[in-house]
Order: sequence, then C-alpha cells, then structure tokens
Amino acid sequence: MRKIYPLSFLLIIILFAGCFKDDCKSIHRIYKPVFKTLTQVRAGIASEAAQPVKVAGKIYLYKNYIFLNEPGAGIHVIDNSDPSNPKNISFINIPGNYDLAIKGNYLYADSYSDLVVLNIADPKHAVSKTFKNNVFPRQSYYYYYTSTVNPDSVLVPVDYIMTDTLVNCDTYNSWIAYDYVATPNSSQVFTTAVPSKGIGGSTARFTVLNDYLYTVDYYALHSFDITNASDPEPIHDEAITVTGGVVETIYPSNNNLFIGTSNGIFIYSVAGGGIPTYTGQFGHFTACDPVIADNSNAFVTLRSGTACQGFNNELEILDIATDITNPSLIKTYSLTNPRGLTKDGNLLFICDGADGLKLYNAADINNLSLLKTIGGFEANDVIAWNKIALVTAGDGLYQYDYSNTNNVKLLSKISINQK
Amino acid sequence: MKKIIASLLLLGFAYNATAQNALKTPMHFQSILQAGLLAGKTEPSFGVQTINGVRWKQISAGIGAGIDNYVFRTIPVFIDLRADILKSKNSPFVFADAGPQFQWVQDHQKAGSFFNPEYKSGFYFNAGAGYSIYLFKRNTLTLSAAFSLKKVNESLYTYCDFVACPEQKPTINKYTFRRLAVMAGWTIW
Repeated sequence: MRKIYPLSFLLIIILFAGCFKDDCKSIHRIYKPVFKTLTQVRAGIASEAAQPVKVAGKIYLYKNYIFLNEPGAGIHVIDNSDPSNPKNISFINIPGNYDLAIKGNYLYADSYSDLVVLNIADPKHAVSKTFKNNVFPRQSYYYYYTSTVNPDSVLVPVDYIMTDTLVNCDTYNSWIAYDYVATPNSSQVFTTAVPSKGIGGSTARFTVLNDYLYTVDYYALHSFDITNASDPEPIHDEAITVTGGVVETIYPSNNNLFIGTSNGIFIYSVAGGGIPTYTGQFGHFTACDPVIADNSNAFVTLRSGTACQGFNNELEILDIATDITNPSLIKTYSLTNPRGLTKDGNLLFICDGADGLKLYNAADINNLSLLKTIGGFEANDVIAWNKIALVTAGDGLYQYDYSNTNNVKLLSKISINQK
Repeated sequence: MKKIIASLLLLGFAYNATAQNALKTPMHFQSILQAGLLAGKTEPSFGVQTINGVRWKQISAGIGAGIDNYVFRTIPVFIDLRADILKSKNSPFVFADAGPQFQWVQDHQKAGSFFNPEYKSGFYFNAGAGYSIYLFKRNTLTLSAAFSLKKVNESLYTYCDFVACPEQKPTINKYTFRRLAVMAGWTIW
C-alpha cells in the first residue's frame, strides 16, 4: 500500500503534464483609419479658434507672440504682450507637426514629411502659402504606401475608429502588420532655435540662420534657402548624413550649427554661403543631449533614461574658442535629469527634470554657482528673453521674471488640459 | 519588501515553541517551510514558501506567503488548506492554496528598453498532493507536487522622452502561468 501512493502521485503528474503551460493574451487598441486626400488636408491647415493646451511641445518666441507646439496636431498662438496675462488666441491646425521656425512673417513647420510655410503677418489668422512634398522622407507617413506625391492622389489618415481587441501575444507580431499606424512617435518631436528676430528652445530641430532654414531628423541635416521666404528651396538634392548616432537637436551660434546627437556634438560651419560644412565634433557617452553655444563655449546637458540610454546626468562645458575643429571638455557638473537649457549673459538656465528649473551664475564656467532652483514641475525646455524665462513643463507653460535673480517671480502659467 | 519577506520566513521558526506546547491539545499550531522548483513552458525557477496555521487531527489550515520567481517575481499571499489521507506518521496528503499576489518584478524580467512597463499581479492558485515522512518528534519532511497557477498583467507604455508625448493607451499583456510546483518542505507541528 505504501508503495502505491508514491506511484499514484507520479501518475497524477504525468496525466496533468499537458496542463502545465503559459499563455498570454494581449489587449490592443486597433485604429481603423479614416482617410482624406492630401489636398483636402492641406485646405484645413489654417488658423482655428484657440484650443486648450494638451501637451506642451516645442516653443518659439516671436515678437509678442509665443508659438507653442501641440505635438502631432499643430501650434497654439499665444499673445504674450502682457507676460503676466498671456492670451491663447488661436490654434494653427497642422497635422503631424512637431517643429517650427520663423523668419519675418513666415512660419516654417513640418507636417509629417512635408514642409509647410504659413504667412503669419497676422498671427491670429495664419494662412498656408507653400507646401514642399516629402522633404523629410524619414518622417514619411502618407507617402509610404504610394508612389506619387500628387496631393490629389495621396490619402492621409485623418482620424481613427478605435476598438480594443484581445489577441494571443504569440500571434501579435504577425497579426499587427498593416492595418495601421497611430503609435505616437516621440522621436519625431522636435523644434527650433535662435533666428535674428525669434527665439527657439534648445530642444529645437528647426532653426533659421540668416537666409537659411536648417532642420535635422534622425540621421540627417537638411538645408533650405529661404531668401524668398515664402518658397524655401532645398540646397542639396539629399540631406547631409550626420554619423553620430541619433540626431536630436540643432542650435545656431555665429556662423555655426551645433548638432546634438546621442553620441556627441557635431559642428557645421555655414560661413560658406549657407552651405553646411563639417567643422568638428566632440564625442560623449550615449545620452540625450541638447546643446547651446556662445562665442567661447558650448554647453551640453547629458541625460540618462530608457530612451536616452546611458547613465550620465550632467552638464558638460566645452571650449570652442581655442579650436572649434576640436572642442575640448573644460568641466562637468552633476545634475539630476537635465533637459533643455539656455543662457542670457552670465545666467545659465537648465531644466533639470523633476527638480524643475535651475538658475546658475555662469560668469566663471569653472565654478558655476546655483542661484535658484524653481521646483514643483518637471521642466522640459526654456527660453530666456528680456528678463523673462519661458519654461515648458509637464503641466504647462510657465513664465518667470528673473530681472532680480534674488527674487524670481512667477508671472503666469498656462496649464495643460489633457481631457 | 525584503523585510516583510524575512519577517514572514522567520515567523515560521518562531512558532516552533508554541507548536510544541500546543500538541497537548487536539488543535495545535503547524508551521511549514518549503522550497522547490516551478517548472512550466518557460525556464524553471525557484520558489519558497512559509505557511503557518493550525492543525486539527488530519486537517490543517493556514496563511502562507512566499517568493515565486517564475518569469516575473511575485509575492503570493494565500490561504492554505491540507489534509492527511492516513492517520499514520507517514502519510500522503492533499492541499490547495489560493490568494492574491504582489508584484516584485526584477529589472531583467521587465519588458525591453523601448517600453515603460507597469506590472500588476493577480490571482494565485496552487493545488496538489504530497507525501509526508516522519523525521523525529514533531518534525516531518514533506515532498509535494502541485498544479500552480499565477496571473500577471503587464502594461507597456511606449517610452516617450524627448518632449512630452501625446496621450497614449498602453498595450496590456495578460499572462497566465500554469506550472508544476515540486517542493520539499519541513513541517513542525
């Protein structure tokens, strides 16, 4: 009898062996697209009534207006004549828009892989003037499944009918294939920097310098001649490939473009008729890295994180005055999780993630002194202009008066409304 | 979390003295500490449990907690019911456990670098049979095999970093793991 029990026990295990299995069901949201022709879509690229800000994307300051990108959707126009009481006056509907730059009365924006030029002589009533087809092919969207760029023939998904579906995880990869799209793509999120009459943030991917518009995408630098501001012309048949990992930001200083990539800083001179010429580079550990520069130094923030990879959270200050073809590291400062940055004279502003906005005296770059930390929000990018700092954060757009660095005052906040 | 687990494991030993005294009554304390292998379709993993409760004749009931490292590390907390089939010192027994579990997923068990995963553990169930072998005094060695089920939900948010992202809905993976749990344990009663 005693021998029977262990044997029975083994028998039960064998009988139930088929039950020992793992399974995984995956809930996916299916987006069934609703299409319009590209011509119909472009007819809708224009100013609309003001909309609440849902996500604060890239910022651009032009005259008394703030142009605030709503990632993937368009641009909020904010009348900032009174920084203590900014007024959200209109919204420029631009599908697939993440970046912008302005020269004169013309606003340049990406719309997926197209470049759109809008006349903003009256910022409240922007009017589209020119469309350049598929000039950013790495951001291609509606051209991907067609062989034509004729806007009457190209179909654009403009809306989605959403349904949730339960599928086996094992079959998901083959099943998902083609019914389409709509995963928000963070790496398409980019903007602008410092033209003569406008200012962009350090996380910009569009910038205007003299009579040229420069933009970067994942691996390339695009250049456009905007002598005729309403009709940009690509300088090259193909963009310049930047071989330094994923390209993240572009910043103009003097006649140089500073391009932040995941593996370093690349410098291109545009002194020769606006055509970018490789000048130098400085490599660093893999990280996300907005860069700004003045006459003598480049300031780079390195940030770790899942998408950024790497382990460094710091500010690097480089010497670019001695030999711009070979920038050298002067000093590194430890930070929490830095993002965008800007400089006004000797004041250096750094968005340091959850720590908020940090304000440094950078008169002596070997000995930065922290003047002020403004916490309570997760700061992404900052523009400092005329003693007012515009800060985009996870919960809105803040404006601070820093005319007295001992008493930095909050002037206003435009809250985001995600509902 | 580690402190809680250590406390639960030590609890089993702490009850030893209480159990010895309790044997004089029909209902007395019982403590089980067991460890073993969790084998299923995925790579086998280690598991450990402590169960503390009361025993009345051939039946016992208790509350258990443990570490289950199968695919995603979790902490099951469960009610345990078991019964000896024979009245002899060496006896086969049957048992069943059920309860919630709490996620304690290790970094290397999490989804890849393009996701920002969140885990929520669900139901835990374990039922099987075993054989107890009398060692000395009130100490017994137990060997058991069981069908063991655990559920884990994984929410995958596409990582979005450079600037704030549009609102997104996560992909939710609902895992159900059905394993063979082979355990060796030490029981004090």
